[in-house]
Amino acid sequence: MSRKSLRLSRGFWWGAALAGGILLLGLLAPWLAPYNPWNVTGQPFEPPSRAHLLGTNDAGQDILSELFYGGRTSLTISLAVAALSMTLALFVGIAAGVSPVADRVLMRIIDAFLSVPALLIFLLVSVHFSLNVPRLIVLLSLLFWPQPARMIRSQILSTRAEKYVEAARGFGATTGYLTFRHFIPALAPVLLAGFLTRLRMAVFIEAGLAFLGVSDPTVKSWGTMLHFASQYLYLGCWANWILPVAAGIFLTVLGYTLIGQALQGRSLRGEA
Amino acid sequence: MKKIVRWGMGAFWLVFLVLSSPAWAKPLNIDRYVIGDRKDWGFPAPYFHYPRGPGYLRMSMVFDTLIWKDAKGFVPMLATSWRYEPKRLTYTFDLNPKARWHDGRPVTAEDVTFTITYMKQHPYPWIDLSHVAGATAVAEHRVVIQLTRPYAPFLEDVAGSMPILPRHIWKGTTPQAIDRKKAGIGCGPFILKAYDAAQGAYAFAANPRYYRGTVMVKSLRFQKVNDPVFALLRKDIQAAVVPPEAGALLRRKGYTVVSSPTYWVLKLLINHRRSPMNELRFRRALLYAIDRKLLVKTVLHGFGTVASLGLLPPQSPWFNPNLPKIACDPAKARELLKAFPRPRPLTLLAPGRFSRAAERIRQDFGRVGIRVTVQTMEETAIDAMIQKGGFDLALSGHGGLGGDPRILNDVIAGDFLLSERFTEDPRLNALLKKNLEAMDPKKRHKIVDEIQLIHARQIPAIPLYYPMMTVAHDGRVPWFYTRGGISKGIPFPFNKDALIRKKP
Amino acid sequence: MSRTVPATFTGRWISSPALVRGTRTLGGYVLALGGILFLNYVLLRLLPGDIQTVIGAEVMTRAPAAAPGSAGPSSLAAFGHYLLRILKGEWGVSYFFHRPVLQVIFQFLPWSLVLGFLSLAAASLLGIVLGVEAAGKADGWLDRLATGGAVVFMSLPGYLLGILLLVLFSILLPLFPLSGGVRPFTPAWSLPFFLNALRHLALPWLTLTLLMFPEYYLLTRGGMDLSLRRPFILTARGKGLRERVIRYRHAARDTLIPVLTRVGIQMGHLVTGLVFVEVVFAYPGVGTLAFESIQRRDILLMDGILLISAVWVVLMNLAADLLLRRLDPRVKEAGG
Repeated sequence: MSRKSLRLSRGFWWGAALAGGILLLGLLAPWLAPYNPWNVTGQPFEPPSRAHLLGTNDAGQDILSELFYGGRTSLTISLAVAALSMTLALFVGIAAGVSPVADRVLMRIIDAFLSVPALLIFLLVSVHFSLNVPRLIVLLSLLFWPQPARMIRSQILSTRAEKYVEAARGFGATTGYLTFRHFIPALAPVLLAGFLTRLRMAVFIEAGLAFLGVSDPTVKSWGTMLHFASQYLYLGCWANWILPVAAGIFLTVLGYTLIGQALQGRSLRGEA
Repeated sequence: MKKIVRWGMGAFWLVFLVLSSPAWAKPLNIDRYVIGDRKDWGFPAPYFHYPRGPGYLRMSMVFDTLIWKDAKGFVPMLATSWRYEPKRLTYTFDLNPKARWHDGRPVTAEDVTFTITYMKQHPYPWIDLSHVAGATAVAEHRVVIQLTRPYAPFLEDVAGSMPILPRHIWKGTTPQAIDRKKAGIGCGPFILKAYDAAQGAYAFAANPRYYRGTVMVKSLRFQKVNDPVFALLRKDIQAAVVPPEAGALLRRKGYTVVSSPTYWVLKLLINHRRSPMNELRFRRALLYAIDRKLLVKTVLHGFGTVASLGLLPPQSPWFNPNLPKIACDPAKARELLKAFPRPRPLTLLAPGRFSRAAERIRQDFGRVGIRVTVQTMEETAIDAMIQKGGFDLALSGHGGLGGDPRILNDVIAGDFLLSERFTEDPRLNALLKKNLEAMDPKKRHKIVDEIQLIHARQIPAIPLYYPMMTVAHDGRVPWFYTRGGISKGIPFPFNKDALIRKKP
Repeated sequence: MSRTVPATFTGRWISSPALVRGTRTLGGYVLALGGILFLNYVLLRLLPGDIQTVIGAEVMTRAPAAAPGSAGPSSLAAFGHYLLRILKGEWGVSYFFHRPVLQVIFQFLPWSLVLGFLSLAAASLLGIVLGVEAAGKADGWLDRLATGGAVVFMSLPGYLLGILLLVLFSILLPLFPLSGGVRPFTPAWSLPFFLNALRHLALPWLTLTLLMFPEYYLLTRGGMDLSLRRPFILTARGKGLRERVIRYRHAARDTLIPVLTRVGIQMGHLVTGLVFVEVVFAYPGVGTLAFESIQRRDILLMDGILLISAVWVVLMNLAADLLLRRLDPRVKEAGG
């Protein structure tokens, strides 16, 4: 048992180091990037050299600098989407968990949301405007809230059934008191797990939409880098262009996944 | 006199063609030939294909028109000869009596008159018959087409583009109700064998009884692939339009790589009905601010040319070489902008595929003090906004610049959806009207030159660049570049005449 | 509550309260379906630009005044009319394909479903087997390998994995075809057809399987870890049952429910949810069809695709519900 917990927590620290390290790289992008990634600083498609460690892209911009700035965008979007959608989910989940009337209505809405082909609806809505970063964050959050909302609701329902909550209610505790004193603290593991999952999904979907050419290609992000790079596969530039981006996405999400796994393992053992 | 000149030219082209045709010099016999494409373009029959060049091209393998174009210009197809009578406003076509539909029935003048009536009744997006009054079959193989007014582009737009429909199949039915199996029957060099929408694949078989000669490819296919370059390298396909950047690699691997003009232009549309773009000085400042050479270098990677301010490219026979050539000059732009002390920030609409160009233009404008926000959106959404005039600046392109100069009417002031809608200049309006009616090529040349000059001076839109088209193939078929593009200007080299060994 | 239900309807496993609950959830589904239809209808008709715009943007063509396949006006009355049309089976004609919408969809649907089913089946089987085997053997080689693999593949988005596999096995090592579902014009239902279709299927299938298995693995493993510590397992061990029997027949039963729920949800999203992988491999699925139909403003076809996929989602949820009720008596009891 002790060996296992050691292993899991090691995973956690690895994950935290990865996610934190990449976050730091994104934050420090302006100081780390050798060039302004919007400026033309070389010929198009330059192979890696001393001047451009990862070469240049189709517009003659430095790929390494793009990688730093792109990571910044991807991380911003994923953090914002995860935070916003979990906040939404929290409100809806609590409302549904506390009031039976709201529960009926909200659960129907959630059911409907979960059964629409979300990606297609997203594509339909996105035709109406330019998908810049703020709009992308709002739209993705609207897409991502229903599942955690449902999880939060069922967690509250099960907390409600706990003996100590019933006892508190017996002593005349108000719903507000119960919510803040008991329901929300009990939600911590669900919220954390939901947050991490949404982080991962947001990184994927941001890059995916850019890859399809749906979101704004003038924004520097890992997704738009892939979008342009995949058009020039035949130039053999995937080694210095696609692989670094792939590694960026992979390591970031790996970090989130490791943290999530470690936390989930701990809560599982806690239950057992 | 004019008639004689025209006939003489026709005869000259014919002789020249017969002598110079590479197909004639090197007979081939190919069992199977596959052309790759990134997309599917719909069922290859009139009314059914997607109304874009590649869709028309696939349809043209099965359906013939009255006349056709090769590398030098018009050549006979269903019509062996044609003449125009200016007094009566009629075109007379003599049909090839050997022409047969794929089901064996002869092609007659009745089929031509039927096609015109049918297409007037059921509009086919590719053909505009508003200037055609009707047609009469005066003999089994002679048809007279009556115009309502002189219409210079008739030969290219109608005679050279309108697929002739078999009357016995389309009579009494609508394009919506017709049996699909029969809708694919034409009289062209290829017989439609199968079309698979899910795989985006077309199978055509050589028509053994083709009236104009021997079809040299037994089985011709079009096939959807996700990357034409790799598909070529793997020999999945034998020819495809490829990104110009891949040309060097493919040439190294032994492919024949040909570059040709696209007769397509990317323009910066300017909403000249809004302030401050309504002032010529401001538009000139915009023109001086843009580094179009750098645009060609970084966006097209050099595979293209800076556009002429008169819209028509140098390869067009109607190109005016004496237009002002304006290079990027930020100092001059700043000078002109002094009259506009604090220009409001402008929005630049750009479809995703032009986002690199949009980025460059934003930087160029920023350099002279014009703040621009780039808004990338889905292309059709942008087109709708352009149509309604709801924009400041927009990136938008169109083709068709190689063929008849009627195109200038459509794109400068006409009802084309992405038209510049520039109707402020009365002299330009008068010239555009004359452009359609001038049946004498010399007079018309003068008119078209003048139109280009006014466009270059008034700058209702800034033509940015002409990209190049690169095609790679295995070298077995002598593909050639059609003068002005196939039909009304489709820039692909896949002209069906390259696959036919004509009867001497 | 259940008195009015005739006894013949109460099968061995559907007790009458469950039936009542079932009809109530069915009502919910129908309501949800109506809502989705309305949403789809409105969203499609609000799109900027229409077929006329698409045709008109080509300089060589002129859009006819009334293009075939136009969507028509958008109002509440029009929506009612539309519902009526749908119910009567008049789904209209696709503007791009010039064929009845249902015919077009059914030409693409089998490809999506085959790819989706096969990947989902492989992913869930692999996940379950690995999960059952690895559970309770922390630090064993299988556990390390499976957990490591799951974490790695969870961290890669589908299109990226797809591109990497495509570069590896179609371009650097040309073992598999680059794109498409089958070599065109191979006679359908023949042996070469199936073999060739399988070859085309291999890479997209592998991509999706690798992508989806971690979820099943983690679900199963988590559940197994819990249930292996249950008293009845100890009893079974005490009785001297074979380890394999204990694991698969007894312990895995509990973990099946969350796994099946997940399968139900993922089945629902098969129709349009594979866009990314379909695009990478140019695989002829409904996802790509929908994506391209939006760009072509083929509104009636989009109507059809969205309707079919919504109905499919609801059907799959229903099927999962019914199956769960059969497998787990607790769900039945908790009804209401």
